[in-house]
Amino acid sequence: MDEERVARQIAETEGISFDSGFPTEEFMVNMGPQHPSTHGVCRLLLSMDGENVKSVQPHIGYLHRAIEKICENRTYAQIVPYTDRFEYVTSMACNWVYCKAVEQLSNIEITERSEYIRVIMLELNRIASHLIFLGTFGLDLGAVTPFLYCLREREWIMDLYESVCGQRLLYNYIRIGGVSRDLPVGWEKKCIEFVDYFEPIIDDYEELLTYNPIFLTRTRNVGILPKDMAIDYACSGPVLRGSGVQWDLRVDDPFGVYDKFDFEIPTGTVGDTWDRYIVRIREMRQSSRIIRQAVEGLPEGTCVAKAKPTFKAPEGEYYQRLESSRGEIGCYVISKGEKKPWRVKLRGASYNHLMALPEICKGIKIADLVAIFASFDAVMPEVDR
Amino acid sequence: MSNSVNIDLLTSKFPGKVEKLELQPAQDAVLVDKSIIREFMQFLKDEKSLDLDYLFCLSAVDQEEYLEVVYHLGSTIEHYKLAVKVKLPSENPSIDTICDIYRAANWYEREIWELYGIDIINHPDLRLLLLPEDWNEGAPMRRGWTGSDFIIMPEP
Amino acid sequence: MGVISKLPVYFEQVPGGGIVTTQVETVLNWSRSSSLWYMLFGLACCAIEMMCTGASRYDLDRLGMIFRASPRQSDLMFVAGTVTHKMAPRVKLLYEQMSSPKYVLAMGGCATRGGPFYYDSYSVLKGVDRIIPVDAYIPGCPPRPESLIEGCLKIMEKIKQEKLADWSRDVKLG
Repeated sequence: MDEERVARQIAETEGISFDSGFPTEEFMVNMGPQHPSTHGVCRLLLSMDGENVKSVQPHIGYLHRAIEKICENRTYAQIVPYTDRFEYVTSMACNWVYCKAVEQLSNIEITERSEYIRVIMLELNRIASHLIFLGTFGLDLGAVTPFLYCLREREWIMDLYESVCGQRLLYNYIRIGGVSRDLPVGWEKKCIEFVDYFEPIIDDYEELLTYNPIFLTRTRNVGILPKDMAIDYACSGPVLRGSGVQWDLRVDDPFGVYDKFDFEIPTGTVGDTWDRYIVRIREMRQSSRIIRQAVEGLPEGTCVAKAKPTFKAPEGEYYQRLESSRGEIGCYVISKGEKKPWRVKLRGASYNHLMALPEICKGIKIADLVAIFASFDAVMPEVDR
Repeated sequence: MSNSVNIDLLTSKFPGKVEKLELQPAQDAVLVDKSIIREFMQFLKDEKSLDLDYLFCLSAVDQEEYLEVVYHLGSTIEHYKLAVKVKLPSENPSIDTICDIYRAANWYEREIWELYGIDIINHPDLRLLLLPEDWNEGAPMRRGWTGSDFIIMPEP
Repeated sequence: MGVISKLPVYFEQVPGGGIVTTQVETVLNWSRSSSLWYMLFGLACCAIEMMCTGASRYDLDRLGMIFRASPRQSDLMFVAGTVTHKMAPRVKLLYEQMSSPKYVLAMGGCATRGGPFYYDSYSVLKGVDRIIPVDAYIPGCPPRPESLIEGCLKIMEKIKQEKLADWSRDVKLG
């Protein structure tokens, strides 16, 4: 450590003995399940030597609600609201991954209007989720202002969602075979108004944080996740792209009509906290581009799902992957031809990211740990299910 | 994106222990014998022509007569997926760990140990992950399990 | 606290003393209900709605409520989200760490009675009132910010009806 070397040099010049015999020992600090910076109920057991963190041990399971056990005793249509609660910040993605898995299993075709509406809803949800990331990231580093601005923007998106499906947070909108109801009259115009208002606002956020010297000191070269470690731990989303791997399931394992839109996939270079932050900011801009193109090209037709409540999927199994705002989410559905599925396994992106956390947190300071944990943007229900 | 895994390479390298599975809907899947799972995974990781570097899911399924462990692997270079299944007996199931080959398997193996009762041989850190520290009611995800605070939904 | 707990008893025996206790009660209850500081205890989905209620549009600060991270500095605990068996001892510990007078608001279906996880779940505590006393319940999954504000107003009404003689009982229960 540099500080120790400098302190020894100063002690030598002043003639003081450095190892004055003051006993120090390692101690354990519990960053407990209730903590303003743990983004939910995660417990981190830290072994510390002064301000330096020697090791981090995450303990999870404080939000394990047994969703997979519940899904074994529910019909296919009854499971859709439970997938909302699997990852509540981007619940459109979770609805979509489960419905797409069942549609692939049962060979159900959906109309083009449904596909376009699903893309618009997911991209709006991606912007809403990244706004929460931005607000809480600033809050963890001590900047309280971005939090209030970001949540004010997010209220616009919640208004748009409320006029479509009646709910602000857990939508239950994407159903097996389509969506639950069509867009109301005038919704497309309001959506374009929001995108027109939002795109210049991203520049305001960048002005507040991105090249701020204090922000750069706290995030540049902090928590570097190397490329091969990120792939070995199966990280995904902005965490993997921040480390320099060009991997986005919208392009590499397509699940929707993304080939009809023109957008870029931002990647980082070094894999530090600043890269993971800037990837998300640029993704918000790309999402606005996609929404604009999708709304302008929205085809006519029906989009309402027509699956009956007593729907039975044929025998088989399928694993569907989807790019949500945190990374790759997956849904593995096994069916034996009855009206309830045999097994539903849900895979969240933050599970793998938390697995990689102990390895990159060796020999850092505790303030850096808060920044690294916030940059992973982990939500606990994805981890614990 | 329309290329698929070279399963003939796998069946020829491990004759008799690896067989190709036909699943509905069509996908790349193999059934592997439990005794060679470590060599198989090491081969998948090292073989340059396959490039299967991404283990994105590891789950267990209770099929009542037997248990199944399913590994889902992918490739960031070739863009294909492979499902690897292993059949285990319902009584005293056990399987070798692969978390030194693919580090992503670490917490997934702990999870199937505590929820299904599958013993993971040589795992570096086998502790309870999701369940409370004082859990003593067995493996809850097995079919037909009941416990102290478990209310089954009545049929309408 | 010993003097204050004995005063109402003496005052009530003096003719006209009831008026003094009522005035003191009104002032104290008004001051306590106008500045309820809540502890950030978001567990699951309701935590996001709690954050939205405290933020720009549905501002909780205009009711005098600001969030505190530590249980020692807060009066009100929003149990926002599902409580699991693993988390339940920690919830109880946090409740005991708050200092009297303290109030609990069970937000959402999960904290009230287990919510959608009542059936078929082996790890969910079916209602937070099995471990701590609750003052107000707010239904919804998740409840809208307006419902949360209504719940806070109900707790403020409850505080305004408290009597000074009950304080001594509160202090012993801790």
